[in-house]
Amino acid sequence: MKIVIKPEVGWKKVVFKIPDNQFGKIKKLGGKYGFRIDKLLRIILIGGFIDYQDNSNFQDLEREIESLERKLYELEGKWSPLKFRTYYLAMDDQNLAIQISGLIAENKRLRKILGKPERDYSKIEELIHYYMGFDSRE
Amino acid sequence: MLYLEIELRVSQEEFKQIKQNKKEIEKRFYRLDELENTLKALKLRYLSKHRDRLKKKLDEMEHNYEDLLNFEKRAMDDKEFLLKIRHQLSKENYELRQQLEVNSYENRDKT
Repeated sequence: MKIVIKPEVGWKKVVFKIPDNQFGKIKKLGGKYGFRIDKLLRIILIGGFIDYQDNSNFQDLEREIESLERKLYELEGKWSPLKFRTYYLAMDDQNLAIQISGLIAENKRLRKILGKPERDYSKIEELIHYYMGFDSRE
Repeated sequence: MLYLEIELRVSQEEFKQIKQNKKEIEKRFYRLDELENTLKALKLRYLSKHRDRLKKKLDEMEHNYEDLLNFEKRAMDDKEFLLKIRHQLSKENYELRQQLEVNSYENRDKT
């Protein structure tokens, strides 16, 4: 196997000649750990080796990842219908807020004409303000 | 898949480094134990990072989901309250309008 290394620009090159069976062993190792040939070669050529002594196996990690991914998918599945429901619920509240805002204006005017004291609308107005300012992107 | 030749493009700096260390690099193709250790370390590093990213994403999503559930509860309670208020105000305004009508008839009769 001939491995030709070239710079991004220029005509120079460095060539490595590796026996096919040796390259086959390297390729097999790459496959075992999920590395592509180009990545594998970059590790050998540029990255160098890491002095690593750890007996922990990655099957536990892979199982943990699988479980996390499953939880994420489940949550994503519940997320969309909930978002849809709450959006239309908030829109209902916004419509109600608009209607009540009109009713409050009418109530204030009628009470004034009839000489009645004004009602306390502060709690309702706070709610109206909240839903009038509701942004569907939030 | 059978390769006869593989060509790899690297940066100028990397090329210089490879050219300088060619003999040392050539030996690395035969140090399979060290290569396997390195691949194992890199894979563990990748898996750990991936696990941490997923954990962070799941935490964020759980938090957002909880917020949305609370918002749904609040919006449902508010809807009930707003419906009650709309009913009350409609009724009161109707009564006030009636009262205003009665008053205007009385004023007209007086004049």
